[in-house]
Amino acid sequence: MARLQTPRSKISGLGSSGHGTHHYLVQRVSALALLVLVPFVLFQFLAAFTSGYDAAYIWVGSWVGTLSLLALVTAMFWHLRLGVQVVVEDYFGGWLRMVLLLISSFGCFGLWLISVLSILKVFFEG
Amino acid sequence: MAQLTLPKNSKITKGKHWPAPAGSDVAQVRTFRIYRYDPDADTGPRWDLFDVDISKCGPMTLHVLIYIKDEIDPTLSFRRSCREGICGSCAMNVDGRNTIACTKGVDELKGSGGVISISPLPHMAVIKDLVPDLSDFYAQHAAMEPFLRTTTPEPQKEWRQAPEDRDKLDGLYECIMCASCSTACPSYWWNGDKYLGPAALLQAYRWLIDSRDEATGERLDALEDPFRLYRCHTIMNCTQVCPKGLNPAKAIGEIKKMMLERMV
Ligand code: SF4
Ligand code: FES
Repeated sequence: MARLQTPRSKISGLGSSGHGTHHYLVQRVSALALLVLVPFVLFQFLAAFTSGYDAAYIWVGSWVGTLSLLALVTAMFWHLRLGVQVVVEDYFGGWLRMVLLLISSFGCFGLWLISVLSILKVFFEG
Repeated sequence: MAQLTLPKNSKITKGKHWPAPAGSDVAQVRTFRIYRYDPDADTGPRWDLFDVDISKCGPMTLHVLIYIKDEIDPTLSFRRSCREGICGSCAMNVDGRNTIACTKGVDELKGSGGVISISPLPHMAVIKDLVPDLSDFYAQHAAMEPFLRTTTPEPQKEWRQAPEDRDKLDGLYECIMCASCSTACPSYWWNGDKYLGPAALLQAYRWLIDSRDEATGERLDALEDPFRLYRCHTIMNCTQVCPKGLNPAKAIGEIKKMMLERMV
């Protein structure tokens, strides 16, 4: 049976959650960072890579390489997490929404952690 | 939540065909495919075909509907009142696009395969034929508290406003609440329970930038939510369909700007 509820009560729901702008802002700021970082890293890495594996390894272990890669993966996984959240909220509801949000959170965090550790490993070994 | 297929009882079947009466001017006959649903019948919705001699009715889509109701099938239901684009009652999907039937010229309708489709506003519960249930839509509008909110004691004569500030309300106050925009928005389709939709947000902005209003902060607080406001992904269907030429997408963008402005 449909719940006996006035439209106004339905629309007001649980009220406004008091956030959203921060998500919106970080999504745009991280996009801006990626706009700079992606071409920069791609260009530098490809330049080093064309001179072989060792040159690429040395570039990753360099200060510029490590810093730009760390910034890149951080911006990238943060942006990814926020973007996936929007898509999940758009297309899924109920418990599926919760589960997918958890998976995407842990997934993005895990991948970010692995990336950071790998970059640092090269930095400290190299 | 997204629903990509129609539920079983909403699947549309083929309905009746009403040919134009013998002796009609064939060159003037156009075929209209109209969504029909009768809540008292056990059957689901259907498409009825009406061949209408458009030389017999006025120039607008609403004239065609009135002609059909008067001359062909009196059971056809639709809303209309002002017949001049100011009440917002006659909003429906005409020829694939939400609009108000009374200002949509039949000569503007292209049709597809020689047939012009008319259906209720998309993704709304249908009461009968072209009449959707807009209770939630109106509740969203009411929740925006579309009136001046002040705490300063009311002045004896009037709340004064500079002409420049009054100008800011142009392009916002003209909304006739037809719901064409909100029901054209995928975000509103999928998350209409939480997302307020372009019409309500345009209304919210109309009061947010009113220099006389004293509740701007509270109004923004009420919108600070990932669903209520931020479900807008700038798809722009709203602006494309608004029969009054308003720009709800821009109003929403301005609300987001105000949100940022008070945060950073
Ligand atoms: S903004 Fe335009 S389309 Fe939306 S309800 Fe108002 S008049 Fe109708
Ligand atoms: S009848 Fe009033 S807007 Fe169409």
